[in-house]
Amino acid sequence: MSLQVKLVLLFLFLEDFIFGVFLFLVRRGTLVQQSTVWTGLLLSAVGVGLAAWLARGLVQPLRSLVGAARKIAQGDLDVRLQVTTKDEVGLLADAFNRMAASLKATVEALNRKVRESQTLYEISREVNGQVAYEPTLDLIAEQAQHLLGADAGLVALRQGETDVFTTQAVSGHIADSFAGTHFTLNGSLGERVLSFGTPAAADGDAGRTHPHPEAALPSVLGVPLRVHDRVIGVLYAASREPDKFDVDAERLLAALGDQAAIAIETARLHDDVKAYARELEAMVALRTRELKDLNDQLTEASQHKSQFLANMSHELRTPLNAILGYTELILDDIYGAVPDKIRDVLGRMQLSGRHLLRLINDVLDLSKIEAGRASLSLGDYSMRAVVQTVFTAVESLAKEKKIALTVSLPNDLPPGRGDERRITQVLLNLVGNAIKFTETGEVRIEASARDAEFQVTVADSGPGIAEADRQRVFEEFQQVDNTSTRNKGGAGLGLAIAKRIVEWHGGRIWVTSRLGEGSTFGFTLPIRVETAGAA
Amino acid sequence: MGGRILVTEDNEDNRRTMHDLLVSAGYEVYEALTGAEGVSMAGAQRPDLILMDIQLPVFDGYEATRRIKADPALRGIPIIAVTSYALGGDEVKAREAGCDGYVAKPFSPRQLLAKVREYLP
Repeated sequence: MSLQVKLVLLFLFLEDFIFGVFLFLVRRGTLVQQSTVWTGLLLSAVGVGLAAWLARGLVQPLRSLVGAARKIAQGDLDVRLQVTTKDEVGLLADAFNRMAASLKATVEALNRKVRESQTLYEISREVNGQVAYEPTLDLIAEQAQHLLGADAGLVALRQGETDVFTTQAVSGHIADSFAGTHFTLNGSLGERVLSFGTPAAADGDAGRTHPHPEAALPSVLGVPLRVHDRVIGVLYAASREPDKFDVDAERLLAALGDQAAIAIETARLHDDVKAYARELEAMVALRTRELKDLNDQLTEASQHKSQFLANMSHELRTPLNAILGYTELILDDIYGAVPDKIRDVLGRMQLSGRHLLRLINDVLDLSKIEAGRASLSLGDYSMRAVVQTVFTAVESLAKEKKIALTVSLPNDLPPGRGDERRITQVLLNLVGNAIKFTETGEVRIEASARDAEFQVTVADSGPGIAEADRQRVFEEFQQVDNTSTRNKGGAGLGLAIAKRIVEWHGGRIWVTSRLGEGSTFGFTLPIRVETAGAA
Repeated sequence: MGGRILVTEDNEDNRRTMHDLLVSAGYEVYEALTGAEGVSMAGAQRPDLILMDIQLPVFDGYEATRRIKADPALRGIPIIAVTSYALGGDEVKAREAGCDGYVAKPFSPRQLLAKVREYLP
């Protein structure tokens, strides 16, 4: 208990005592004199004044203390008490001040940590939000600089699995000198970072002869950039200020490094994927171009082939026509009477010559169609007339072979539109084949119209076509080869041409057959063909 | 029967067969090997009929026909085009050039003779 307090207590006690004595004397009538009363009152007043003065010295510091405590409670950690005395009050104030200072330091440290966490969070969000590779690296260097209050930030990445590192991004003071610089980590803090996988700080070594981040500035801090326990690089912060970086800074940069490494790897994968996608696109484009070129070449070659065949056929026909012409002239006795023996041989020459001419004409026809040089000559026609024309053309042939040739046509066939000459060619081919391959029985031609299509069938009682051969009869040079068809002539081009003509009109052609029971060839044609389909 | 026919044809065999056929049928035959020769012989010989091949050296049968038909003195001579292109359109082109008839190669001598007899019975 301080002297001041003792004095106050003593005084209060004395005052009570003096006042008590005074009252006692008054009651007893002992103090009746005026002067005595005044003396008592004066004594009391002096006592009160003395007490008030003494109290001031004690209450005032207590009040300050309460006020300061309130301010601290309100968050003002800078409040301090003025310590003037060495007594208990002074000691109390001193303790209070130290407590306030410690509180302030703690709160500031906490605030800093919160700020750091926040910053880290924001950085990692920003860094991870960045998907392009180079901007990610730039951002990391920048953030390392700012987060540590450094003069520079730097990202160096390892080249594959080698010991060579390359400065990939620089922010701040050392910008230009280290951009793109290659260096090894030998003897550097980076090596320590790499070896131990932990942060390392070093004094800068400006005297280094080789370009190196540690030569950049007096104080350098490095942390590993790690992905799945593999160090992919080092993140540096550098400062002009010696011993700039403490343990907190290391911790902070390491935390940033962890985030950065993930972001770098993500960006790298993203870039890899993009690069791969570009590569694929380029490859696809290249292949497409190559295929297109090849296709163009093939188309051209195919046209050359067709053109060649067309020319060839024409060239073959000219001398053949001369042979046939002379033969006919000889057979007509233009050069004199021909003995029967020679006439017979000439007749066989003429048949073979005509057969050869038909083959050449077929090849010419097909190649012209394939070369795209033939066109459909569209016009109105009567299917009845087409059937009639064909019937007339083959009638005598059927009669010769004693084959019944019958026609079945409804009376109300609508007028058609198409290439009459080509359609006649198709039907003539089918009927001609049927008669050619049928030895006994009949060949029956039927035509009808249904659903905007003509359907024409040619049924024979010939040998029939085996199933395996049915698919091939419409291909070029695919005449069914068996004893019954051999020596019938024809190159097997007629059906191929017929198929093209039918499809050209937008129709289709088919065959049904049973071996030994005959075959039925049929085709459809749109009744009105306004534009030619693909040949 | 009879008459004078100019055969304008560059192929020797064709020329020969036409010649032999027509001579045996009683016609008098003149031969020209090019379009130009055909035009000049038409003027010199004034034939009753001209058989005009279309693919000819110097200028083709269409051009020869146009030139002959442009000459008032020769305009009346019928010209039969003989073309090796059995394609639609050739007949139209031949008619446009002024040809009176049309025979497509390959033809048989008998077919040709039939055509000739339409003009020179």
